[in-house]
Amino acid sequence: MTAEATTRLRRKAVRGWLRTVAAAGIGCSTSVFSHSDPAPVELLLSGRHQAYQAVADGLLQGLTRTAAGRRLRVAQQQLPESEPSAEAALLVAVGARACERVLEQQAVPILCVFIPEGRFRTLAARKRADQLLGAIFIDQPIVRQLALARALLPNAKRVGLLAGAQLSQAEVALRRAALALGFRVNLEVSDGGKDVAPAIRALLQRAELIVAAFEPEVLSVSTARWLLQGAHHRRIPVIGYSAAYVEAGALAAIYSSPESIGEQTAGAVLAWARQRQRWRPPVSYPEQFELSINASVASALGIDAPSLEVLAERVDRLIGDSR
Amino acid sequence: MRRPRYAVLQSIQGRLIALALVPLAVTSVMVGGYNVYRGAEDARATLESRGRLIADNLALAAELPLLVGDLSQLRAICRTAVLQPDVIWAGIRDPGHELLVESGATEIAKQTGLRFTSIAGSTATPVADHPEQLEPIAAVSLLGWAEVRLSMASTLSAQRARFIKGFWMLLVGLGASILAALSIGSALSRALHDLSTTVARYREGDLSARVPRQSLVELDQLARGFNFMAAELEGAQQAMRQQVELATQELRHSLRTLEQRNLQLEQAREEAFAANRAKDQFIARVSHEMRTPLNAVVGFGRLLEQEAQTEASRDYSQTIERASEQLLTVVDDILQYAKLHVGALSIESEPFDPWRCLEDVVAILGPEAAAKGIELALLVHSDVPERLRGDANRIGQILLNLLNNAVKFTEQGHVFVEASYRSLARGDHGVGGELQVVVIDTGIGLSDAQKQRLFRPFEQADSAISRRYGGSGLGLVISKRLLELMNGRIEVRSQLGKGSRFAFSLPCDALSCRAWKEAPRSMAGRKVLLCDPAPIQVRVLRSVLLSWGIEVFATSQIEHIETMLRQAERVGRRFDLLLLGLAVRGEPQVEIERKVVEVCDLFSGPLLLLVNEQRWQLPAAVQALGRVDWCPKPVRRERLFSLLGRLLGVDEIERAHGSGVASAPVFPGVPVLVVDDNAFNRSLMRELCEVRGMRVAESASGHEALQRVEKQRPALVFMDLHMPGMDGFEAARRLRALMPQGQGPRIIALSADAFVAEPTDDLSPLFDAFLLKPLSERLLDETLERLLSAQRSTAPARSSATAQRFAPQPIDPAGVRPVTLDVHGQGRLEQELLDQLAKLEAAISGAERAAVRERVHDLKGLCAFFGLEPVRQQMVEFEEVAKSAPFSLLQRKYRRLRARLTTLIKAGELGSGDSESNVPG
Repeated sequence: MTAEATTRLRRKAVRGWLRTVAAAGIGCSTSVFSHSDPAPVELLLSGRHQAYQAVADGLLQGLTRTAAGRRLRVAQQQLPESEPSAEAALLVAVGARACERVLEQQAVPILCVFIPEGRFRTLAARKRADQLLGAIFIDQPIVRQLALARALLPNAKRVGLLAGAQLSQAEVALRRAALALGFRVNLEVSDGGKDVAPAIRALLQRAELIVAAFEPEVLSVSTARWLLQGAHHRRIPVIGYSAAYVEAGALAAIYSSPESIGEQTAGAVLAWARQRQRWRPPVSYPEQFELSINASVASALGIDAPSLEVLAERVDRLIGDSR
Repeated sequence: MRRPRYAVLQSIQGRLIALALVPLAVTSVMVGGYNVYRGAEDARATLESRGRLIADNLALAAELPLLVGDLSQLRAICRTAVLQPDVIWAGIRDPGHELLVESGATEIAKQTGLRFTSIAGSTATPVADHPEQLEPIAAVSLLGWAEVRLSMASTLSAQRARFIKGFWMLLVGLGASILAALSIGSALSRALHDLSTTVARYREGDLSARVPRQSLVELDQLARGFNFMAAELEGAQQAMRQQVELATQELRHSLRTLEQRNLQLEQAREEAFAANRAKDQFIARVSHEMRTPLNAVVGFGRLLEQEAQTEASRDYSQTIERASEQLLTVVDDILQYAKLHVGALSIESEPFDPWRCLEDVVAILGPEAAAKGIELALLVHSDVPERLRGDANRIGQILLNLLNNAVKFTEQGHVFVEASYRSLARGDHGVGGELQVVVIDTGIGLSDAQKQRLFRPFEQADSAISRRYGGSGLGLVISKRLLELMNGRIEVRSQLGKGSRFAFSLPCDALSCRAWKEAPRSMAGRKVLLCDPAPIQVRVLRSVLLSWGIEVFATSQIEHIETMLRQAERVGRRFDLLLLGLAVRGEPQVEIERKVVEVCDLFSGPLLLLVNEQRWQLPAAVQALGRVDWCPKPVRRERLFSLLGRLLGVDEIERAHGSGVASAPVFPGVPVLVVDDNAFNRSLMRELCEVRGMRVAESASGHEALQRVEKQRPALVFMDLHMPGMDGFEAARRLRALMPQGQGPRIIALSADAFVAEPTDDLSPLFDAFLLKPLSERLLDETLERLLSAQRSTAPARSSATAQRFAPQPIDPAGVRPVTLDVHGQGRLEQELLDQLAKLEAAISGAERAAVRERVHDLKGLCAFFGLEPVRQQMVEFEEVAKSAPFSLLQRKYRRLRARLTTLIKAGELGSGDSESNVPG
């Protein structure tokens, strides 16, 4: 699948919906910050990958859009060379490794951004009770993928999902949301071991379309090949969670860019700067998303794909409808 | 011939083959082996890689069928895989390695095939946009295994085929190399053979030999180069041959030309010799022709002077005489120079009296010096031996030349001659030494430039001199040359305007170490007052007188005489003699007379006047006194000695030396014959002889002379050597044939030919003496004295022919007067003495007593004749003993006698007049 066949579109999601989801998942606690800290915000990147730097750039850019944000002093550190400073008023960790590291700091509000939801929840389980910890995930909510599937395949009935532990726990909510969009869910659960192949084989035999959710244990990059090959063999469309998935053979994908996550983080930081002691750290999915579609795959599957703008509008609408 | 080991490698061909094969074989084996090995490795690697690729592909293809459980699909895949080359078996296994499907020859594959496996389902497809989506992969979940087995058979067979091909290629390559090496080698050896054959032919002289064209380019170039060189050489040789022929022709031509030239040169040489002979003859003739008339001019000039009636005619005749003598000197100089030039002059070595030699020369110049008013003095130092060995004539000639110049170039003052002797080492015939003669004048002197030109022929110090003083300009050149011939040298010191000093020295052996004879006792201690206005004369006279033991009181001013006489009288002493030098020339006779008379009044003793005039007469006023005499300056020592002896009344002096007055000897009535074709000369000779009291007959030719001699039996013949018809030699020869020496007349040769004038052995047997024209009266007198006096007074000694011929002077009856011999005389005497000794020895050996006594008697006479008194005494004793003594004693006595005489002969004292007993009593 070539890059030319893939079309992408950035789209901002509805903020209010997101907040709802976030508030439901994260517990909050209060904390006091000093106003006179020389570098009240410290940014710790997990590595040198350009994605982390793009998050940081988006954050700084978002800050500069407001006077308060421009007044803030932000110090940037990067693993593995630097350690988080104990004197920071707010620690912003970009990526899972940075988040793991900053959790060792005491009495400092922490905001972990650009982190998979499952990973954050594992780390958050280790935090102390008095620690203020917020997050902005990489993952898209499964409803967005289902909305995209519905927007592309209005007539499809059975949607198959390969579920690990994370998705299994939310099976009820998932089925509810799928139902809202007119899908019956065919969920194949696997622990990621030897049963992945039979699970995929079963999924391919029953599903009309497959939504590949970001479930690392079962649907890693290694098994994505089998899924895509089988689906292709059976002429089953696959809705992925990254641009790379579309390039590898998925029909379409929905995802958020690091820059948009950075800008979203800037808003959270500004809120921290405004509210300080009243500030409650957010735990949320990305507010903005992007779409990507593989025209070749669509053509091979005989799907008449609309333009991305139209598709985005449909997705927005479907999300709104499903809510 | 034994073939050396590896002979094949000694040839070019063998080496070429080795060169082609060995590297090729080694390289081929190495490269081939490496290639085969690499080929096997590559084939195996390729097979393995193919196997892995096939297995991977099989696994990849089997993924989906495994995923969906489609076994028929899997089987189809396996069948497809087995269809590929070398694949003998393919199978798919489940994750638990249980075989699901297979295809191919299972049994064979299990034994021989290479096994390759690959995992199905292990490949991943990237679906993450960033690292946060790359979660750790759980344990690999396999779909199954793909396995294939590949056969090695085709690989091995391909490998074998490659090896065989390589081997064949190697064989073909080696074969081709051998062929190429053989071909090149044979071509090379053929070409080299061609070359060597051609070179050998060329070496043997076949210049047309050429190397044939060669197939190899380089060798062909070599052959062409050789051919070109051979052609060039052939051409060059031909050209050279032509050049040699040409050169030979030219050489022949040159040789012919040279022969002609040689002939011409020979002719020219003969002509030159003839011309030289003609020149010599011409010089001889000219000398003869010039001397002959000059002889007459000089002779008659003198006679005319003697016969002159008036003062004027005497002056004229003197002028004639001087002019002709001057001319004679010039002619002599030229002749002398010519003789020196042709090396015809020989130097003699004879005993001579240096005093007399020097005095004679000085005396010659005396009149001229006197005429110019300059003092001429000779001082011979007492160290000069009485007799020296050398060529007196040449020494005199040298001195005459120097003196002539000195007198010629001195206008006032004096000319002083000083002789000394320096003993060096003992020579062969006496004491070796050097005679030095110095001529000092106060004349015009010489500049440095003039001194440098002085000894060049025909050059005088100044060209103006020649005009003013005359002369040939040859005198000094001749002198220098003569001195060189005598191993002598000459040196000049001079200052312009102040005078000159010419000094010459030459080696002369001294025959007697004694100088002048001892002064007689009666003369020693006498007092003489010496007065001469010339200090130089005072010095010379004083020296001579002192050498005789005389006390001298000298003054140079006549006014002092009176004072000195008075002073002497006051102290009670008186002078025995007054020696007064007078400058009479140019002074009036009256004045001189007055002076002499005054002096005679003052001094009553004997007075000897020394005057610078050769012909002078005592003033009449003092002539009668009998105690006054005179003597010309420069004073001869013997003359002075004799005069002093007479004036002082010393008898023994008078007896020993005879009258000091020089006068021509007289031979009254002696018949002489003058043979000369020239009438002038004949009449001159007649005059000279008649003056000496002889009877003269004349002959104009040799024939006439022979007749006259037979008829008139003259005692003496003057024979001119150069006469038309029969010359003097022939006439003398015939005369001797008629009358042998001793019976016939004495013959004196006369010639004006300077070249004949040198005495030679040719002349000796014919002539008794030789006189050169113009005649010197002194020499004439000496010769007459020698020949005629001997004839007159040697009657007792006539038995010895030798003694007769060489007895030159009369024996003084007053004492034993030694005989002075010339070289020939001395030689003959020695020979005679030795002959007599030999005869004596023979007589003693033969024990002939009478003969011994006769020989001893003869020897005694000889010793007495030559003044060998001690030897004569010995002979007297011998004569006594010889009467009866045994012959052994006589033999011993003879040996002693012989030793003594031999010593005398070796010492040169025989006949020198200086033998041990010759001192006058």
